[in-house]
Amino acid sequence: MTFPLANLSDVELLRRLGGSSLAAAAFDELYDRHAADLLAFARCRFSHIADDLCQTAWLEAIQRHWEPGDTVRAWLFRVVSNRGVSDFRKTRKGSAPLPPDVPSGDEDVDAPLLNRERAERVRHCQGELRQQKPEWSEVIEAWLAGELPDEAANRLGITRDNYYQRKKRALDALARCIDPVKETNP
Amino acid sequence: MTLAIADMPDDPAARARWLDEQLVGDRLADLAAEFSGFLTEGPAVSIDGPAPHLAQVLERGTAALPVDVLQKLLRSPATLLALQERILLEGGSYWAALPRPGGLAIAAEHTRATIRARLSPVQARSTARPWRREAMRWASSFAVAAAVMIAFFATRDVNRPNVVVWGWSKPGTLSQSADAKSYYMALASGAREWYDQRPTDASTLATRLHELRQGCSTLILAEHLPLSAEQAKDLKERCRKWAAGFDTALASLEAGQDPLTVRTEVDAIVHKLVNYLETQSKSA
Repeated sequence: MTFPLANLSDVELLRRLGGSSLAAAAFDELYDRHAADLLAFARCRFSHIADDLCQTAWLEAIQRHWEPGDTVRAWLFRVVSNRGVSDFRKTRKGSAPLPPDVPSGDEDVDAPLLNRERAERVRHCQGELRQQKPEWSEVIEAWLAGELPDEAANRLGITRDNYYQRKKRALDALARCIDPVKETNP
Repeated sequence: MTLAIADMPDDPAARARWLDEQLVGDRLADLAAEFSGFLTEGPAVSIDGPAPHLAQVLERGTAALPVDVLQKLLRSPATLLALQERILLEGGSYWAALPRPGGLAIAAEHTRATIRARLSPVQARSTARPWRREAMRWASSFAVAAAVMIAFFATRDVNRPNVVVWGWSKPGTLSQSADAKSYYMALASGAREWYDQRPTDASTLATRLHELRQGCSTLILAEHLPLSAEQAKDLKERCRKWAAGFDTALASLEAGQDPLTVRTEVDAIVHKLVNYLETQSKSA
């Protein structure tokens, strides 16, 4: 048995939000289709306000702000993106950068950066690892470069078990270095 | 926070599938940052390029990419995020079938409950439920449906969602069948409705300002069929700036600034935008 709403298009579902007796079920169907991906999109770009942005987009959908020309899904994504950028502009004196794929559209917005702080921390910790544990670091570099474990172990003159041991230790050390809070407050 | 990169498979052949799962997940930004830290960050990669890479990726995943392009992709955070958007919007059945992180579904369910709570605080408490996609359609049954319908419609008078019935959000204002001149005039007329109410207290002004701002979103997201591409682009760009002004005003209001001062600032923006729209109408 198929629930009839599952056969409806997004636009047909959206129309049913506006007063039909199926409004609640139509909303659930529409929400099930798009909510998780919309949230993933928001979290990858505006992590600190992702939930709020999604709520806003859905509330605007319920209020039927969508207009023909976009798919409902694209429209939801655009609302999240526009609202996120708008929030960034409002708080641009703070530290939150625009995601790199979002054009600033404004000359006075700094060049878009991606979670620069995390990238720099990674770079710093990798440098530390190179200095303090070069034998671990070379395993990580082989792994990142896509070298197969057996080949890398052979090249480095270590056993396969050693390779995995070093890789694990290196990743643990990097994780502790990159997110030091975990070390003191597990 | 764990390293997003930590569970990357050793076997390069298995990496494409792993990357695909990251592309539909919510830690892609962390992953991209880690890649750009570990690897030397490269320029944006064109996956739209001469080879039909993008179409193949949208259909079959990143396994469709040549190894060198895949490696370049990992070094380009901007391309990874741009690709994510394309995949989430245009990806085919391969992408739809990929598992999403469990935490994402739980968070989405929480957001659903919050939306209901915002529409009807009393009803929402009785409708919260765990994330089960199929169960959501059936197990929640009539009680949930009825509760939400009440939230949407029956409580309209007391808990009515913030449906805006003036300005650019008013149905019909953005008639896509008008000519450019009438379209601009209608927009100017919609904007002038701001002056129809002159709230003096912070709460009412905030509501009014929020509605005005909502109109900007409507305008920014509209297609503007009566306008040329250039006119539509210019209108949207200006609207983004007006919206930023309204956002700033709202923030000032929420920070405790005198409502009348804020209202005067907003009046000035509205005055400017009405002038612009009227000028455009005359020259259209």
